[in-house]
Amino acid sequence: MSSNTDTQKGHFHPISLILQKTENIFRDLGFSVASGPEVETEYYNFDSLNIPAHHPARDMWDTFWLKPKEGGKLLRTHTSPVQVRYAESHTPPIRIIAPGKVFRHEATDATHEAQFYQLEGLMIDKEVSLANLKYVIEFYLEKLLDAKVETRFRPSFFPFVEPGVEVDMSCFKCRGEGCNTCKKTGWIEIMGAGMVHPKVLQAMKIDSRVYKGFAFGVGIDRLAMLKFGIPDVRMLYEGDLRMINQF
Amino acid sequence: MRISYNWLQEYFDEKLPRAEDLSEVLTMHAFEVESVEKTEGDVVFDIKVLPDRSHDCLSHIGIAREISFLTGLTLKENLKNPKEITAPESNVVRVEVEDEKKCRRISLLVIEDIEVKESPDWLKASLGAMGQRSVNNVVDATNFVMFNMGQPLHAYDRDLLKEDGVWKIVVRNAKSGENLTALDNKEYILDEEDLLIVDGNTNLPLGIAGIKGGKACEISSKTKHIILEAANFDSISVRRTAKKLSLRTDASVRFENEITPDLTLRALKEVSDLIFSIAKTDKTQVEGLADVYPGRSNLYKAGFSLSELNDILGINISQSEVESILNRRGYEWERVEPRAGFVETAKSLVGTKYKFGASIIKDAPKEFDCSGLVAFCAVKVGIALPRISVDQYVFCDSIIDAEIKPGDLVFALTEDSPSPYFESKEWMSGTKIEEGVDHVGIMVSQNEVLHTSRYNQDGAIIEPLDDFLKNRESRGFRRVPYIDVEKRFVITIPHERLDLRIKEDLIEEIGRCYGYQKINPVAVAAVSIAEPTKEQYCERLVKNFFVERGFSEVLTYSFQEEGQSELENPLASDKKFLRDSLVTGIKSSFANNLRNKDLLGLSQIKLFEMGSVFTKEGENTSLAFAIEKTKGGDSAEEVTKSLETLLGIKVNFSEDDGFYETNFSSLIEGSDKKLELLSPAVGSGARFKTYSQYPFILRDIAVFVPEGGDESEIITTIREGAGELFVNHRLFDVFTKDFPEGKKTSYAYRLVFQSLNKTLTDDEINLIMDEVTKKINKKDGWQVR
Repeated sequence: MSSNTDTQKGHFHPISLILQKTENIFRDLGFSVASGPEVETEYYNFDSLNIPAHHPARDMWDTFWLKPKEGGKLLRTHTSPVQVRYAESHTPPIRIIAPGKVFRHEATDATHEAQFYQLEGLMIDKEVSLANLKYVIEFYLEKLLDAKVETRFRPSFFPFVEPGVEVDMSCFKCRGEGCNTCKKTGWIEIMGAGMVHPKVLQAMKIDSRVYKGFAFGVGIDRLAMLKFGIPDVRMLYEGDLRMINQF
Repeated sequence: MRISYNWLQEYFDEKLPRAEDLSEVLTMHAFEVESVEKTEGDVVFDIKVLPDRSHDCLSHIGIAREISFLTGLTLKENLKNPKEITAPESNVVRVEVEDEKKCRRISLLVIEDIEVKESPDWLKASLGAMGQRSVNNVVDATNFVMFNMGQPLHAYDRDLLKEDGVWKIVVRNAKSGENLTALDNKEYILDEEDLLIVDGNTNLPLGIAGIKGGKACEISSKTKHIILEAANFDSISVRRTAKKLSLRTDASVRFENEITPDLTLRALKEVSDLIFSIAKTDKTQVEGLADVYPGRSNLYKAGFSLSELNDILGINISQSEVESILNRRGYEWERVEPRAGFVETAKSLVGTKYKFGASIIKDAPKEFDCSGLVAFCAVKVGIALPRISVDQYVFCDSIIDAEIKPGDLVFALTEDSPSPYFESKEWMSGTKIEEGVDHVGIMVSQNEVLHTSRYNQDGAIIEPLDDFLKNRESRGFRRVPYIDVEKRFVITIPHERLDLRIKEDLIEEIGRCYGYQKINPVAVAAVSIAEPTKEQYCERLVKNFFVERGFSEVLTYSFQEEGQSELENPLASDKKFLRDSLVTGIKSSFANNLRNKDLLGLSQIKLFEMGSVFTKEGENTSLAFAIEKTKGGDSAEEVTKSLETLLGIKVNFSEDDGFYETNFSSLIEGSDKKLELLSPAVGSGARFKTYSQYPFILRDIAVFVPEGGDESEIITTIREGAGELFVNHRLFDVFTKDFPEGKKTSYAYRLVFQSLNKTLTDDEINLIMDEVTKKINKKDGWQVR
């Protein structure tokens, strides 16, 4: 903590530190920064992303609804709706990231918050593959964490991608030796990703015979906690300078 | 789902890999294994089966098939393809389905003269591993088969149903207000959307379909004759009812995720065998079977080409590797030349009947409409075409007459068409076809068309193109994509794999077995750097401005006690609304930080926040700041003035008790700053250090030192004397004075003491201060005032 009578040092919030660095890394790769509203419609948050009403997959996102419920307004549960919104006014090739606040209706604890920041990434072009996804994610994580990072893909399921993968990164703290950060496994689960589902390309009015794409979603709070060693996600929203002024 | 290692072992002759290795294989190629729990003589995995695989893998057989697929271990022959029950049609039990959409199949098996008793130990242990308590041998048998095969079952005591010549079971929608006491002894009140199993002779409910059985015909030690039910209920209907009643059961979860109706007779075979082994008497016999199956369908087919697979995964897998993966899973597959196969299938369909809207899953290959016939021929060669003619028109590529080859399509609009399409529906929906289209046929030679139509007496026919166009206007010729590119793998999808429907699903299936770890990063093509928008640029500019001016950025909660947008399902009563202003949040943050001002070593508390607020007009980005009023410190007026200079516009902050806020979104509309790329914010590079939950104690100290000395040496000296409880300090006063021995400067500090694990006392700090004073006074020319 600093101290001086004359000039007092200001501090960015750790989330801003991560987001600004993130944006610059992706801009260098030609990814524009896109945004969308935090209050979303059911269509953009679910239907357009191949999550129809009454589908069990909807249970994967606990949702805050706005009154009146019939209005179909909700707090976006992920930044994925920005993909569809962006594609409505842009044609491929597309490279965007969409950082923003998202909401989940769940009890809070040290690793769960009802509000947090997520970063969506989307690249659509004639030739895009999971191998490109791996490159972009590793490029990003290495630059962000200033460390050599490897990633591995595991099969997973998100309705808006197919194939869908869970991305683990090699623990940048212990380099895979096993430590507390990676729960002794050498790997840290970091994001969900995959190849954009043809139905989502359809919702974007993009011809899936010609174009394909990858998408990923990463929790910014989690990255901030990992990078700065912040032990409790709730600290990020307490407005407490005992935390913020450390960075 | 909980999966028992011992149970899995039953599926294999060979020894399974160690539990840890099995867990690793599943995690890397199929599902995340969330825990591996060692129990007495067994290991239980908790496997996170996601909705795409909940059709087939909420069962031991599903996981066993995966293990066989991924490790190459062979499943026991009799378990690979479980047999269906064979029994005569029951003479004593009838079954009726009133709503065929909600009940796709119901199969009842009558077994007479059984003995209900305690289950054998192995069965109790198996259910124990699933976290289930044993009830009796019959109920346990039904549960065992559910955990084994994924098909929920129910057993009724036949004598508790009314006989009227025959026993009768009916599946029907509930009447509004109808109620049922379930096996859990709770009463449930139902409405017209809920589906019931009822006693057809009394019309009284026996159970909530797919969710929970009723108390009325519960199996007890007195039970002699049973009716076993294996049914298939619509996923949406079960989900709606289960959610509404807050009654999620092992059965409902499986139906909600949809399972194949093909399972029922296999499950009845298995449960019947089990009952014969554990509940048999001298007279036990299967009386018969009643099976109603309105939802019967063909097996799906889907396909892909090798290059499509490699292009999506970004790997270079060979044809033979793909073949070996397909064979390992036991898929029925072929590799076909699409155009030849397409034409061949088309020709084989001559003479099939016309039916408008015929389903290519249920009605094919007996009945088709024009576009269904085309889609069916494409499916056979692994090409997914849209289902209706207008979408096929948009999906396929236009060609000129001279290029026509057998297998190309001809589109037309029928004269006086009852339902022409002018825009596409499912594919690139809304694409306009001004002239209209409503019919499609397949060219089988340069001038012959194969098609089916309501006007064709004989259904699908081959006729000269001129005849085809007699009462139709041509819309030209089109070519099916992928038809000439390369050979395609065509896979027949097993009934239970409801997740495999499109090319990408199959590519995932191959890719995950092959191993995603074999994917190597491939750089994306370099393009120019992406420019920021005005809002993004200004947001950063303003954040930089505040931080450079000594403000700290806070983020506070979007939920508040009051606001203009109310939540339907808030987490708490003080979080009912979305914030319509940042002030509430920043106010409370300000008050907390003011209390810690000395601990933080700050001369002035200065905070800002940027974030979304929600008003009746909608959502906008708001900017707010708080600044402590101090003598000689920074002020709101000066902040505003500098910000105006920076942005080149007038900035109007609304003021609320020393807190300032403005609508940032509309503010910057007026700014015409030239956009630049700004470097990202740089932090201290520190790692988080825990701060104490205990109170801190303050002491002021002023020290005279000879003028021109190094100030940092004073703090070093204080630290030496104060030890680890000394956590922060602030220099608050400096002046120089003449003394006989020369000029001396006084430095006044506020020192902060705090412990990580206790509340400090004044006595403790006094001792520390004595030590500090001693250390300072020892220095030559230094004096504590």
